Amino acid sequence: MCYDDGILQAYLDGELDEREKEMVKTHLDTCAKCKKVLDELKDLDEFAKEKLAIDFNPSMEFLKKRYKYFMIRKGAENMIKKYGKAVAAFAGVLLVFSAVLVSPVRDAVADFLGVFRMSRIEAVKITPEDIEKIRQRLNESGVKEIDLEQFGKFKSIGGGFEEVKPEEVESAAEKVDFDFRPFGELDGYKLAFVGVEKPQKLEITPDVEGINRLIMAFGGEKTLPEEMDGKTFVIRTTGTVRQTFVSEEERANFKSFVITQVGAPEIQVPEGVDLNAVREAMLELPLLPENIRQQLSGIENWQATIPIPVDAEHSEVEDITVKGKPALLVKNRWGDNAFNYAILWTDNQTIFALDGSLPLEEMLKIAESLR
Amino acid sequence: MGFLEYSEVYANYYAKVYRQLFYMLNDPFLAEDLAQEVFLKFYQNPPGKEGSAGAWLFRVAKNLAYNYLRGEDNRKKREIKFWLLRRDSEIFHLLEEQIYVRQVLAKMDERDRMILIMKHSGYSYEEIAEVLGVKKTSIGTLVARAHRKFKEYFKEEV
Repeated sequence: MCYDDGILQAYLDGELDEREKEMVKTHLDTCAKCKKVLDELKDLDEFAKEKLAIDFNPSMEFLKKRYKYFMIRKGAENMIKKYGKAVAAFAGVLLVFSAVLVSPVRDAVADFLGVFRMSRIEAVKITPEDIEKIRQRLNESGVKEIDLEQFGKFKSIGGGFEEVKPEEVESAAEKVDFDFRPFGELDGYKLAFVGVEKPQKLEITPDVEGINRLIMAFGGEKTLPEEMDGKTFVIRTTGTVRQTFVSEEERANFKSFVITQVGAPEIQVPEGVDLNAVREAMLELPLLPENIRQQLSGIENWQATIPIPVDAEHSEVEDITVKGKPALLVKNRWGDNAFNYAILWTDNQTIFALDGSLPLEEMLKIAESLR
Repeated sequence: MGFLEYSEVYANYYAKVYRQLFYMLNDPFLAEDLAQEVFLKFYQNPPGKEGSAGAWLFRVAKNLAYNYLRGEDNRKKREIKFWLLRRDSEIFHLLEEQIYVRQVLAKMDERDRMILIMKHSGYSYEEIAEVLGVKKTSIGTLVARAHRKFKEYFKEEV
C-alpha cells in the first residue's frame, strides 16, 4: 500500500511516531513511486524554506540575555503600573529639579524670578540593573500606591503634534517658539517628512508636605524646604521639529536620516526657593542608584544642562566636536557589528540631534555642513 | 506557572514567535518589540490548562501583528513607515526579497498562509492543528498543499 502526501510530508518533518516512521522507511526502500513523491515534497519544502528563511537561530547565551532584559523590563512596567504615573512624573520632576540645580552664582541674579534656559546636554547612562535597583527599593519601602494629587497641582497648556508638507517646511518656524532652521535639500537627500511638536507650558505647584512624606517613606533624610510649598514652577518647552531626509535613489541603496531641532526649554523658579536644598534632597534619595547619582551630581553647570538618558546596555557614548563645539556621539548597537549613530549638540538656544543609518563619516559630514 | 517553567517557554518559543512576527511584519526591530510584548502578555495572563503554550503564543502574536498593521493612528503609521525606511542598506536589501515573499504570501488564502508561517517559524504539527482546529493527522496534507501553492504563486508573480 502506498502512502499519501500527508504521511510523507509528516515523515519529512519528523512528525510521525517511531512505529509509523519505520513502516514508511521500509516502504520507501522498495517503492519507487513513493520515493518520487517524497523527493518532490522535499524540493517544495526546500523551496519554501529558502524563500521564507530568516536567519534567526539565537544561541542559548543570547536567549539568556534577552530573558534577563525582559524580566527587568517586565519589572519596570509593573512598577509603573503599580505606582501609576506618579513614578514617571516623579522621575521627570527629579530630572528637571536636578537639572535646574543652581550654582551659588545664581543667587546673585535672583531678582523677581529665576529663569533658566537649559541649552546644554549631557549623557546619563542607565543600565537595566539601575532600573531593577529602583524597583527593588520601591518594593522594600512598602509604599503601595502613589497618587499624583498628593504632590501638588499640575497644569499643562498647549502642546500637540502637527505635520507640515515638505515643500512648506519654512512655515514650521511659525509654529514653534525657537529659532528653527529649515533645511531643504542636503547633498543628494530630499526632505520627505516634517513633524512639529508644538510649544507647551507646564505649571507645577508642589505640595511640599506630601512630597516630603514620600521622601521619608523611601528612606530619604533630606526633605524639601517648606518655603517651596504652594509656589508655582513653570516649565516652558519651545517646540520640536523633526525633518526626515531620504536618499534620492530609491530602493537598492536606500538611506535616510533625521534632523531634530529642539528649542531649549525654559524653567521659571519662584522667588525665595533654595534650589540647592531641592537638589540635595533629590540626589540623596536612597531610591537613586549610586551609578546615576554620581553621574547626575557630576554634571557641572546644572542649571543649564539637560541630562539625556542613554541605555547603557545597547549604546556607547563618546565626546566629539561638531563645528568646533562639544557634541555627543551615541552608538546604538543593534546587531553583532551593526550600529546606528546619533549625534547631539547644541547651538545657541537649539538642541540638534542627527540620527540615521548612514556610515559615521557621512553623518559627521552632514552635521558639519548644517548652517 | 513557575519561574523555571516560564523561562523554559521563553527559551523554547522566543525564536519561533520572532520569526512569525518577522514574516508578518518584515521588520526585525518591530518583530523583536512585539515578541517581547507577546511574552509579557503570556507572563501576566498565561493560558489556562486547556490549550498549549505554543498555540496561545502564535495567536497572540498574530493578533498583535494585525493590530499593528491596522493601526489607526496616522502619526504612528507614518513613524513606522519611516522607521521601516530607516534601515541600513544591507538590511534593506534583505527586505526587498522579503517584500516580494510577503506579496506572494498575501495572495494565498489565510489558512495556507498561516500554515506556512507556523511551519517555517518552527511550530509543531500539534500546535498548527490546535490553531486551525483540525486533526493533527491532516496537517501533513495541508502543509504539502500549501507548499505547492506557494511555489506556484511565486513563479507566477515573477
